[in-house]
Amino acid sequence: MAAEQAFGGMATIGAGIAVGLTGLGTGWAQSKIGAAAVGAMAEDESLFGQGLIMTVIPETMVIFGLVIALRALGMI
Amino acid sequence: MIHPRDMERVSITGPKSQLDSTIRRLHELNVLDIDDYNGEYDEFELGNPEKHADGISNTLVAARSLLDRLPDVESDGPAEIDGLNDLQERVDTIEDELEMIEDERQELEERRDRKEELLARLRLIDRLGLDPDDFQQLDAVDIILGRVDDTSFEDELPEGRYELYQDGDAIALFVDADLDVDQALGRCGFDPVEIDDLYEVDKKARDAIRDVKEKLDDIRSDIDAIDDEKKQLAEKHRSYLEANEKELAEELEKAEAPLRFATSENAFVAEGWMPEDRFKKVKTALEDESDGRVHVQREDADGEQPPVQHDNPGPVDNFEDLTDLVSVPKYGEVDPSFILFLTFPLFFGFMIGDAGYGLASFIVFYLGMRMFPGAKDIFKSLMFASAATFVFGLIFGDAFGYIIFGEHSALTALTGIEFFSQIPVLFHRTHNMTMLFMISAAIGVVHINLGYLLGMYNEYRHHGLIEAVLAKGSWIVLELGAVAWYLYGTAVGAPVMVTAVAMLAKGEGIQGIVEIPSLLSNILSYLRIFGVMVAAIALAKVVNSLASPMLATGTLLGLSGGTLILMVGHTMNTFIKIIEGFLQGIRLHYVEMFMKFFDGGGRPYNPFGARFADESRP
Repeated sequence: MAAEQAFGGMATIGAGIAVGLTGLGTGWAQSKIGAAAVGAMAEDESLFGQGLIMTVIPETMVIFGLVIALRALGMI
Repeated sequence: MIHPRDMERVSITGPKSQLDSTIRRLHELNVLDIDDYNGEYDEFELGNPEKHADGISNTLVAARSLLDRLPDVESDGPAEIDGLNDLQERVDTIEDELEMIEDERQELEERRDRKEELLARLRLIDRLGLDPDDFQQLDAVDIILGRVDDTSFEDELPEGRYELYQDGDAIALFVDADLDVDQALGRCGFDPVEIDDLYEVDKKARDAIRDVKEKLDDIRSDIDAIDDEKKQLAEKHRSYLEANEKELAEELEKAEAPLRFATSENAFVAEGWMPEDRFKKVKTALEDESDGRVHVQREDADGEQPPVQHDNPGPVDNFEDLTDLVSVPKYGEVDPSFILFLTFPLFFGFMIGDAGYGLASFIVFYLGMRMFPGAKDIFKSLMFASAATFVFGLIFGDAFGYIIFGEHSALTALTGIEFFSQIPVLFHRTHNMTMLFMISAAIGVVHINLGYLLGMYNEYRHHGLIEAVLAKGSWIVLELGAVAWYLYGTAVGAPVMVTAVAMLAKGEGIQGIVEIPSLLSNILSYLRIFGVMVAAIALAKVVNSLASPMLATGTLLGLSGGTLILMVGHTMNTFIKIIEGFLQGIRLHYVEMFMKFFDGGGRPYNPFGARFADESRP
């Protein structure tokens, strides 16, 4: 029983780490790309689409993090 | 529909006597995307602008500067189009009138500024208890007026040889002329005030202040009157100037068109592109107009890139702007607008999947369309997404996070009407997380392979079947190999996958091999559909569970508080969901799917005359 509870706790912590770290990673990457994209857009507004694409690329990381978290919590 | 419109390269040749009328007709037809002449033929040079181009250009600049200087008011004046000479004359008259008004205003402003300064000085000496006649210039006494940080300069002045009037930081210092006080004052942060014209005021300070104020009021009302005059001038002439500015810009474009043509002593040649299906009509129109002296013919494209015009029916039209946001399609490649039309609303709708938010976002997009006419098409395409959201909401039986249909219907619980709980729903999303997870991945597989198929089609059209199979088909074979490996084991799967990799290496080279892991991450990226959906459901439930304890109290305060929370919360949620649904939905297209087939980089079709045709369209 105690072991099961401990396992559940670990899984929850793991889920938190998975989402937290991937979120930080994504944010760090997006901050740099986003800043550059906004700079480029200030020069040429037609770069909005390209900038958007570049900016959202790192998002995949946090999606993976979310999936792992839900998996760890046994929700899927 | 699946490709941009077919373009035809054409040349228009004729004698110079027909140049003017041809240009005029072309401008009306609004069809030829002119290629600027680059001097490739001997004997032919760049044409000269029409003689009156200079005059037009000068008048245009004058009219635009007037429009800039006149206040932006609703104008109900007549908007008749004048000939160049009349127009030039009238522009000059308006300019003179405006200049007179502006000069007068400037003069008044200067007078106002002087009076305001004087008023400030009078107030200052009034505070010090002095009057203007105390500032008579005397040889033996220096008068110093101004502001200081402190009065420590007094320590440096000999007793009895000065007189100081002080109020706060304001000082008036009467000091013997032979004493040098500048340095001492400087150390106290002295900020001087002019006194030159003060002694000319032959009144007591109080009276003078009253006088100056009265004069200031007069000047200000004069300025208002002048502004009114300027406004009236704008009201009278603005619509006239605007109409003629447009007309002039059009005339100028026509007058300067020969600069883009090749001309010899007696003939001209214009080259460019027009939609293939309009060629015949244009040819007839131009040749008939000139009694056959102008000749229009098809030319070889010579490997040049034609301009690109989308060619999509009805509603797909609205999604073209979303395509162009990434890049205008290349000529001859698949125009992805119809893919966006097919799957973007579905993605958006599936992710949010809530009838309430479907309606709310529809209203937001409708208002957006009314407020930002420039982005009309994008808002229209988003309204499709809202409609899909609404439909998915009904399918899942969700509205604003409440279950409305099916056995757990909150509507039935609220109203007691059994009917709502009997409306069938596909499934309740919260109870089927694993299934939604699998559906998301499956959407990814389908969507990405659709991308590969379109890529195959593009390759097939440009490089033939073998290249298509090697470069794009190999990816599909690779996926089939992975499936075979999973179902039938290594013996079946491995050879298929090795073959696929070999095909890929042949088709796309080392770049293709390096890309292989991205296939998996691209498909997994579609799990964001699931992720956004979970977040969307959770956010809606959070608002509802915040409100429900207050609503449950049944008191007036509780009910109104709960309703307020619901309204604020769901409004905020609507915007969060619009952003999430749009960004994630569009990104799956732009990044994961388009990269499988879309090159882009086309040059938009920009026919001669189009700028004005667009503006006059109702």
